[in-house]
Amino acid sequence: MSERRWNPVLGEWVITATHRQDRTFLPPAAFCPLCPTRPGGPPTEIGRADFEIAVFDNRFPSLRPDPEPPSVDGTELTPVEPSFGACEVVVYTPDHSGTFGALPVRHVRRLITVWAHRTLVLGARDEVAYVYAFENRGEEIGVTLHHPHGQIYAYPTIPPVLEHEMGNATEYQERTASCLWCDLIRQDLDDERRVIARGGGWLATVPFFARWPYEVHVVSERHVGWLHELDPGQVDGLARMLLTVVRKYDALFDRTLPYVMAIHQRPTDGGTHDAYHLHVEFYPPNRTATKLKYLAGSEAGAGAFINDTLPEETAGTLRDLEPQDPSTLEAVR
Amino acid sequence: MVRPMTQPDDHTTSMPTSPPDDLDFEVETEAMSDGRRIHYYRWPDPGTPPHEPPGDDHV
Repeated sequence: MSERRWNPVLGEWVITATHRQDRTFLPPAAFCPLCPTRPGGPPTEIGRADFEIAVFDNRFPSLRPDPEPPSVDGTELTPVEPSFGACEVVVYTPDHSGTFGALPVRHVRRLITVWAHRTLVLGARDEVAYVYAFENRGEEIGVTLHHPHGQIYAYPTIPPVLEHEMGNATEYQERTASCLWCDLIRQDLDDERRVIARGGGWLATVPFFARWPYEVHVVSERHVGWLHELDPGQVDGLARMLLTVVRKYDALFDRTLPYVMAIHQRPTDGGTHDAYHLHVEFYPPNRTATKLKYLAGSEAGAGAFINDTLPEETAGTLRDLEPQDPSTLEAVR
Repeated sequence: MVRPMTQPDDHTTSMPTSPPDDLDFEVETEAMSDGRRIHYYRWPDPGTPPHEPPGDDHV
């Protein structure tokens, strides 16, 4: 059972998805549902013995093309809607013990191509306003399956964070005739202290306003809105920059660092949204090797993030790190 | 210092209504046992991308 309930106080939709309470939770490797089905082994989600990249409908979706009617009646004050949309799982590799940082550059280029293609496929549906590709990595983030994979959610409305970003970008463009992210890039290049890597048409920084100690944003130096607009050279540049960031993360505390990787593209709701600028955001929860940043009173109750570190210092740490040798990387546990 | 950027006025686009037909990869879609769909993405010649030597893993 899933549905969308309107919160008139915050002005946003909340998705209920009660069936997700029963989803597979940290199974042993022999019973991993994202591994290829092997002769004599248990059936998995992947019917083939081998594959390059596979994408399938999530068995426990929060959003679906054919949702059930809501479990309750809405009111004018608190409407409720069926949870139209889609939830897909993107399995990066058949290798259960792999990790994103250990993928070859070529494979990450292909993964970017898959993200772009799924955005076009899902975004073409009338009921889809926004396609969001992301990866949750590590049990600290809430991962329930260790096999290297990401997810794609296709929402019927623009989610709150994206809507907020888009509103600010549009207001900035109307006021300055400039792009918010292009100007942030210019500021970071002038200052240099928050830059951790640059190349291939991409800039990676710990943003001036980072909410997480080792938050990194990877921003296209060209003003583009969607992944499908990237040319092959930019796709290659993005693949290398994502791997650079993740391998630096994995060198940071000499462990496979947990993170959320969020791909922020323009909406697919038919609007142009020209003010919006493609970028990828990473949020690792660690503030030290052994201590996590939690969303506590100020963050959860007031929406006011408190960062215990200076972005200029954490950026320097990441900038000086050599990316971890991918042959030494193991799946996060 | 090299300046990036184009500005929004240089790049006004809209989302295509469907994916392009001239893809450099193949997608094979199958039904799963419970009716869900799975898409297998594959590239015709995985060992020889046109603009990069095999095994390149430098970032």
